[in-house]
Amino acid sequence: MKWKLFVIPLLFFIIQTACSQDTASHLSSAVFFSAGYANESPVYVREYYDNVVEFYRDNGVPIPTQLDFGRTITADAGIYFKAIKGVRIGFSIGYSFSPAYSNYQDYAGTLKVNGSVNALEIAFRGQFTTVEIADVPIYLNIQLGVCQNSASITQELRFIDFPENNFDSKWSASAWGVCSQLTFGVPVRLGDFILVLEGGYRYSSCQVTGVTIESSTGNSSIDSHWDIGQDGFVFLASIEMNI
Amino acid sequence: MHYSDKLGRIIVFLFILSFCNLFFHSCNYFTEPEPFVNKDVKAPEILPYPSLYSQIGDTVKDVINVEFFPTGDLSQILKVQFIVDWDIVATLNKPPFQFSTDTKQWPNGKHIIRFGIYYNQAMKLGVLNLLNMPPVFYCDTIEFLHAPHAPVNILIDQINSHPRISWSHPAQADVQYYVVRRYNVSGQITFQDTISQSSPHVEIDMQDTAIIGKTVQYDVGAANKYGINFSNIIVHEYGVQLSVSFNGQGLRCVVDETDTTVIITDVNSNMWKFSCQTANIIQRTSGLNPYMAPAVNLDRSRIYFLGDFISDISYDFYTVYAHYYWLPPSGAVGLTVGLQDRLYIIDKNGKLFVYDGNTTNLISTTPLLTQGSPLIKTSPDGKMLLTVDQTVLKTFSISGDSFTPISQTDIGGTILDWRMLWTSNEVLINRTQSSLSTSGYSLEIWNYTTFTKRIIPNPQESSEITAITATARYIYAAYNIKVEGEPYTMLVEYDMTTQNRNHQWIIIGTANFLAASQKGRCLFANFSSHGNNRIWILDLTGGTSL
Repeated sequence: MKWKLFVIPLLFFIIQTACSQDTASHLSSAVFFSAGYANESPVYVREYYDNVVEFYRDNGVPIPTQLDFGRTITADAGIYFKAIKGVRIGFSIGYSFSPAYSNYQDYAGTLKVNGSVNALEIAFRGQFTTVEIADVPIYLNIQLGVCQNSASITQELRFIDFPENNFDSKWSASAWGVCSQLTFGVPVRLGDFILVLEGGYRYSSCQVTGVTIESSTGNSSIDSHWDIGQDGFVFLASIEMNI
Repeated sequence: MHYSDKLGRIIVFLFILSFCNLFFHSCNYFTEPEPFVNKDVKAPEILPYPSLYSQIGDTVKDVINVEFFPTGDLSQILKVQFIVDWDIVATLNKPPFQFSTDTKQWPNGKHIIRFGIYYNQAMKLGVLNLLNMPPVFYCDTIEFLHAPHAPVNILIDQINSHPRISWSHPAQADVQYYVVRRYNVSGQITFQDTISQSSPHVEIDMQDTAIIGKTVQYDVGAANKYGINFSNIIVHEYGVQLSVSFNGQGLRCVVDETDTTVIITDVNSNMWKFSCQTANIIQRTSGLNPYMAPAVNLDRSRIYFLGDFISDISYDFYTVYAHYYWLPPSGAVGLTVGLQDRLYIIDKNGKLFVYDGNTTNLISTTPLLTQGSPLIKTSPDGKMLLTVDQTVLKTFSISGDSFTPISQTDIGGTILDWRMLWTSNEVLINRTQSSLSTSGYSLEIWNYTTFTKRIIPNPQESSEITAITATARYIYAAYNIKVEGEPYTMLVEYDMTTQNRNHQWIIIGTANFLAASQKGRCLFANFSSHGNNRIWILDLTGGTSL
């Protein structure tokens, strides 16, 4: 955690600088890049993943869940155009990644059960200035768009003494859907840039009609009606530059 | 600074701090973490066990009997599986872990015997719990050396006139030869023959054989050097009353034997004699054949005589009925019985007729032979006809009422007598020497498909061979010799394969005919001397006459 020793003084400097500057006049056309964290959880995928892990536990392998679904990193890039006073509109493209890891090892072999949900989205954005608190405006950001979510769960079983019984399996599904996001943001000016700290809620819905299972024992496709979308709270940091 | 400004800065600071913490922490999400190492799981302690070799050796011929973990604390054993080549043969859930299995379900050769052990602590065995097999094995390689399975799909032909049997290869076949056995109504074996492995669908039993009793019972064994396994006995309703066999063509004898009884029908001198032998030959009944028959053939329930006309003798037990059939205008000289009771008849002009019981068709408008011959036979499957045209051996393909020449060869001398060896596609021939510079007789075995021959050496140079017969393994020939001016017969037994002489007997008189019993235990010989006929029964097992 040495990085915190550098980050905490840096944050003090940023905030001290930002709060002494005028941020109300920055609502002009701009490009932006944002990154952040969400506790989004793909409900159905997570349930399936947990069942797989539980299956191995029930069969005598005490495999731990090292990282479960519900922790997503996300990044967006886009552009704002000034519409009317206090309102900007624009669009963005984004990516988010939500992994799950369960890796186990004992004297006889290893077992890995890993999952991930990747999401690509293209969205329309609107930004509105709501209120100002201590001369700091609070933005309301609304985002609507389409997304493509891809989910996969891989199983890898390796025996040291019985390699002929090794097993691999990959469950995967992919679908297009809709996504939306509602956040509140606080701008902080950093020279020519503006840092916007956002927090809110995002939701996506992607209905799949079938999943494929590729395994060392053969491939198969299964008709299935799952929603591999995610929803949860999101925290973002955006860097804007006026154009 | 205003109080609210301070509060706002603190809020923003905490917000950014939390965000950075989460964001940097989440950067690890792209990296797969190191696996959790479970050090509590250890390989189970292996209990001692006796090796398979110490219990059964490194080879096994039939049944494996073995006990695993015969002693020791077995409380930690959950179950034991007995596995042969990954086939789970048995699973035992409690001691004693004794296994037994017949190895005949696997082919001969080396096999891996495994004992799969499940321990009570299996749930602590980690990923080994995910194996689709026992977590612990003991392996040994054992060689199976056993007789093959019994043949399957045994069928007795109901269409043909004669008892014919076919079967299929057994599973996991490692067969070197087959053995066919026929039983009488008392369950005694009355016939046995050996068939080469290459003929799994062989139709056996000589054409000259019919069955006593209303049923026939066969079993078939598949054998190799390790042993033999017989099928279940197949019982077939046959509806005949007498067991007989003929030796070749013409005036010969009818024989059946059981362990204590021999039934002989001597058709020589126009007399049927149904006899029984225990210590002595006792005549039971007899019937007079009014015609001196130059040819005799046997059907399932009838005996065909060829005289001035064809007669059929239905032989209900001890009773003889005669029926008479059509005869070719020029007179018949030979006949044989084919499929579906068809009679194939050769007339004096060498033309071939077929009689199906209702009508007679001339199937060769031109003479088949240059002159009529009594030597005519159909193969057991009814698809081939063999006949002799003076010195030429001819084969024909028969289909219903039509026939097609297959091949022919001049064997170089007049064929006097023959004896079919259907199982080896051969015919034993007694013929005259062809060369004018030499006189005498020659005994030869001809393959009637390749027309290759084996010559049986004549121990008496030019001596006349007056009678021949054969079993599946031996050839018997009667040579006419003179002892102090008196006619004697030197009766010689040859090995079918090597043509070596095994036994010989010197008997007064001239042999008129020979017949070997189907089991090969007895040789029936009719001798004439000074106008008297006598039947000798030679015990082939001991080499003395009975």
